[in-house]
Amino acid sequence: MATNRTSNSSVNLTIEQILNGTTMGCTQSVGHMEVIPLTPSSADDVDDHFGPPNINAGTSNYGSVHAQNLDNERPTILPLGSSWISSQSAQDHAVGSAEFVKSGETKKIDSAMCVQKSQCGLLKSTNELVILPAPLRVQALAKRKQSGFDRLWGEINKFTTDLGIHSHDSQVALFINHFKKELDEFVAEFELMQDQVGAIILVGGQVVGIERAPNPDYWATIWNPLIRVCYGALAVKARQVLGDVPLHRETLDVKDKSLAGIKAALQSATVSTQNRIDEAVTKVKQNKMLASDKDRTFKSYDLLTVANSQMAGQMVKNKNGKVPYISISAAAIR
Amino acid sequence: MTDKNVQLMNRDHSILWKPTGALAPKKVGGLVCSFLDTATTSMGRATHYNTREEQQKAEIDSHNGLAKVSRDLYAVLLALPGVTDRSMGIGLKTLLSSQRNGKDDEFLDAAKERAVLYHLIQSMPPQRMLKLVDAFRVGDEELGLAKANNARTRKLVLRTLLSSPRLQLWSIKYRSKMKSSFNHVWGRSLTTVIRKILTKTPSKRTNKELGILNRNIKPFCRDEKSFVYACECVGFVLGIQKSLKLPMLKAFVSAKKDITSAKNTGLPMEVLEGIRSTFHPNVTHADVLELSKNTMTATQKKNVQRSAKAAGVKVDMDPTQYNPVDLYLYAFAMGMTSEISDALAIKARKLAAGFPAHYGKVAIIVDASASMAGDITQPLRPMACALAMRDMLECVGDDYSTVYVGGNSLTGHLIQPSGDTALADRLVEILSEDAKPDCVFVLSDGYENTPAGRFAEVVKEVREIGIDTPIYHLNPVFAAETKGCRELAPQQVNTLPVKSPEGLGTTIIRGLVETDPIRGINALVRLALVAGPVELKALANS
Repeated sequence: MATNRTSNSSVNLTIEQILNGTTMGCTQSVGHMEVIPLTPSSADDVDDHFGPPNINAGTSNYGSVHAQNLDNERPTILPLGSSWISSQSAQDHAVGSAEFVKSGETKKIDSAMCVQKSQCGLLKSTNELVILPAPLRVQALAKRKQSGFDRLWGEINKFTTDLGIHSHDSQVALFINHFKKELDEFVAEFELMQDQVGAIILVGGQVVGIERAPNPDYWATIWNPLIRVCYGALAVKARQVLGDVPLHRETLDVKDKSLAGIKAALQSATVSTQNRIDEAVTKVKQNKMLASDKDRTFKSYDLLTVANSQMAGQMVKNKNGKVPYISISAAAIR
Repeated sequence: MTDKNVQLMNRDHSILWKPTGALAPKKVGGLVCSFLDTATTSMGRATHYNTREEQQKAEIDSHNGLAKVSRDLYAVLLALPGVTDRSMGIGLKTLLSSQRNGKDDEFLDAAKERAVLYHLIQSMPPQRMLKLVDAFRVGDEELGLAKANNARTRKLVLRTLLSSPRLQLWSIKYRSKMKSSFNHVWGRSLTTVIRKILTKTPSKRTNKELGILNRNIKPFCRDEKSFVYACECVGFVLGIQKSLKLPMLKAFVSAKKDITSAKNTGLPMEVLEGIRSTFHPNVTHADVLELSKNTMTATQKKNVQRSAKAAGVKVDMDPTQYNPVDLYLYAFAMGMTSEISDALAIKARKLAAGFPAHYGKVAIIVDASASMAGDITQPLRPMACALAMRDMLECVGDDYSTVYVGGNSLTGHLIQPSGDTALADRLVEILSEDAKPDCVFVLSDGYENTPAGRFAEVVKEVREIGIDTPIYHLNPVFAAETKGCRELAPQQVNTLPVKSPEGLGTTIIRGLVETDPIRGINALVRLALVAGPVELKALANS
């Protein structure tokens, strides 16, 4: 992959370069959210070195998470924005950065953040993974190197208030419980494609997320947490702002009132949708992302933080320039 | 019946009953539809969206709603094909916990209602039937669930247990549940007395003791021989394991000492497995499979194929013994064979023969998108159900046309779900064929995403150009977020819940209930009368 090194030793990458080795599938569309599945372009573009993030997590202190990789065969990448929202009488926690976790390793992450202000208590083991809502994930990423387990409370309170949930408490669970029905529906409505390793996510017609996993098994594990809470948060906000009917959706315009006319209208709507999506994606593909120096290194893989004025996230790059993991999202819809 | 708005119309050959008084047909139709949705799909389990309590409350409300309008209509509809065991259980409890008040002038009389109850309890698998008997003791005021512990209940339970030719097998296989049932119907003290009497040899029993047996066991047995048989089984269940004469009971006791003596005795596999683990830890699972392979039930034979193969034991399985959905699930797991394929074809033709309609040409759209793979707890069940219904629907017309949305073809009619859900294009395609279909069936879980709502738009356009071909959406998935099945085109296409092709006739008539309640409900009643106990068959021809 060709990259441009800037004067402060960071690198510039375009999203097109980051997505190299993936092929876009047919767009799936429900309400304000659209998803373009990504499949590997060739067998070489699947990285089976990492297993799915089957993580058993708990907290040993406030701000300190221990994450155990239950896979004894393969290491894994703990996804960016991983959080554990539990019904236990314990404080829910999240991490602001992706992490490499070796096979069978229990990794202690002391930079974790509390995402449930009013609850005390330490989290016993839980393996139900939630990925922070996109607006919070970006904030958590920005604060990943700061200290203080309470450093996300202000952002959580602002996030829930923006969605019309009025509470003095700062907890992500408020959002999940309040919009349970809508979030559950996102999971059911979007379908996994065979060999899928990633997705481009659009809300309100604009690209709000680019996600890529090392292999289909990994993707199948993180897809539900991503669509349900992470991007579901943006779709919920879009519905509040834009109303129930998505403005960007192409309606059927049947000019010739016959079956042939309906067929032509269907084709026309499909082509219009594809053109609109292509335009939105093409625009984003050329956007440059500024990549930081490596945050972490594991064998021949580097974890980098990338950002531009619209999106931020992290990626894992190997020494051959391939990108087995990327998770970039917008903080809000524009 | 607590409300006389619905009554049997014996003199009218086409209408068996109709609502009278202030009750509107549409209202009864709504209650019947709600009951059918619950009775044919709900399992009373927690789902991804709803708690178990919420599911159960909704279930009971729907049962009670119909039962209040017409006790007899409710009782008869419980005998419909496709009603789940769970719903039959709720129905039995509902009917047994409330009084008929001796009314004979309704849809049924007391004897016919008894026949329905007996038919329902006998239709249930024994383990569920015994669980239900245990549940008769439990009520829940909050849920609206009453206890059923009256003489009628006790007689029904004893008749079901003691007159069964399978009593010997049940006594071994479900010993503790049977004991619990006897304790429930007789009470603990009488059960203890009966046990003491049965411990004695028959010649040493006093007249008083014989009287107790004659009152509590004999009336429920077919003849003197079955009375002796029942006494030994009851004694065995209550812990008497000496002086046994019945072969299976003797084999059970012998197997504790020598498990190989159980070969060809009819002892079920799980019983032998229990004896092995308790008394013969050195005997392997493969040995038990070998000992019991000729006495396994059809379901067991299917379920043990994988472990039998691993253990090197050949357990013959007859595909004709299974329902089509289970056969497809088996084929997904173990591979399709020509025997399974042939059995599926025969079953499809047989089920189609009982379908309430026949068409010139049938069009079928099968949703094979990724979501049809179902939940991890019941993998591939929606797809298996869709394929089984496809097979049957292909036989209900002189001609058919089937198209698929998504999916990858595997060997022998199997489709692996994959891809997105683009149903609208397929609808236009199938309606555009030269030979126009008389009816379109869409087999789908109702989740559409290319984009969502496109199918409904196309149906609207199709109707506007004057094409009125009936379109039925058959949905095998209960979507709790909608408290029913997810609809593809609300107000335009009937969405019908269906778990298996056996229940499809019921489901199709449910569609008629929505549009023409009186005709639809009468068609349902006829279907239930034919499928129900022999005592009701005459009513169907009235």
